[in-house]
Amino acid sequence: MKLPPLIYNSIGKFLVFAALEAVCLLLIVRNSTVQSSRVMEGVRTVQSFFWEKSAAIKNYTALRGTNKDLVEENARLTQQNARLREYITRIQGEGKLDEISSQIRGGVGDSALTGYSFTLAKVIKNTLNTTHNYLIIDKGERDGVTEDLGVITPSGVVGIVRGAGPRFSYVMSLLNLRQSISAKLGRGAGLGTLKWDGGSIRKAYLTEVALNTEVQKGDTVFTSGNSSFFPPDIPVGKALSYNIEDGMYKKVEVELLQDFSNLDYVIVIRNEDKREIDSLSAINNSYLK
Amino acid sequence: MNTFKYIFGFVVILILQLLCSEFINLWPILYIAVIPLLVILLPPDISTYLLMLSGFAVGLLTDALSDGILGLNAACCTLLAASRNLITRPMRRYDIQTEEMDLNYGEFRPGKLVTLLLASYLVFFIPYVLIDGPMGKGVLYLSLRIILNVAVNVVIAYLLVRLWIRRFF
Repeated sequence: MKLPPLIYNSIGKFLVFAALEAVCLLLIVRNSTVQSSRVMEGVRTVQSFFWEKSAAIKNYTALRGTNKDLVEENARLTQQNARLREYITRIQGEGKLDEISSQIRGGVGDSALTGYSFTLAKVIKNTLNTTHNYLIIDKGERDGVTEDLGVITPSGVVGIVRGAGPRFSYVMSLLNLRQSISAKLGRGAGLGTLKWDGGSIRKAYLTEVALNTEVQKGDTVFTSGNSSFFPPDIPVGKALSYNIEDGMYKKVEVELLQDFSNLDYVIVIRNEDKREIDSLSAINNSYLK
Repeated sequence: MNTFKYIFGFVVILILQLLCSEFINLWPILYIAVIPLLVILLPPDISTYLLMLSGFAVGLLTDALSDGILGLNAACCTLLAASRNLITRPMRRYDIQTEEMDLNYGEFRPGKLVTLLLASYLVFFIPYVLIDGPMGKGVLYLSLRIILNVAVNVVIAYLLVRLWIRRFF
């Protein structure tokens, strides 16, 4: 189909105009910091708009998978519920219900999650194909999300918020070579640092584990709770194998529980005591200067 | 001859603009812009491509030779050049001799000239103020700045056209 000359002419004029304006914009951005940040702000707004829309489409198309996950989660909770009912019935029969209830009320069974608040956020962008992966989530400073907050899902750890704008936040994924989190093998000892090596998105390594720590295939790796980002005992992965590093430490290969290729919603964790913990840590750092 | 006349006009307006930028700093928020006149007063039958390139060139030269943001005047002049035909379309009249729509700035009545200048300076100053304005200023501040700049520049441009440029072009 042939286009009329008038349309060709209009397209030509528009292209010349766009090219000249692009050159001007480039010059402005390169030569002025204020204008550069303003233009970048505009670009980010447009970018986040498109990310939001594409994430909405992706989420819609992934509803089948999400639904499957929910059904599985539901089945697991139903099973857990049945076990608890059975346990309650049993201790009721043994006449120990009141005693255990008072113990729980007294704080013996306090949840490790006390002192943390949670914000549900939608994943707008999630990169997987670089060695420095990141996520953009749709919660920002307006929703109480600030820098240095942990991000998890019911399946495991996702990353740490490293930058927060008014409406969106930048999360450095666990699948980022610059990211590391404090973790432990099993619920007891076996402390180490969990890091991704830039390889498979389903594997990471728990490094600097003491030599005397017993490692068995299938052992669960949990968050240690030693940092102020994550509460303790959040399952992160399962141990696959290990080797000894430099004759000093064990390096455990970990299969991550979190499937990063299927992230729709995440939970941002705020440690209510973080400010106090950080200010106390700063005292130590001041001695090191 | 005509080409020489326009090149001379180009140089004169550029020098005038540089002098204004250098010496007439009346107020930090007021910018005296003479270069839009060059884009407005270039021959009506000039192609839009050449008009845009002329606007870009004069704007870039002003930016490069004055102490401003490089690219700012160029961006605004290019936009003005691209929209000049749209602005002047309602002001054209049918020429019986050539049987074409003609535009003769010399025959413009004051009202028509002010309308042309007002529309042109609005097109020039809206992006100028939006890009140049300091961060964190509200819509009211930006609107007032646009209105002030357009009003002052239209008065100056009107006087320039009436007193000197019209005779020259």
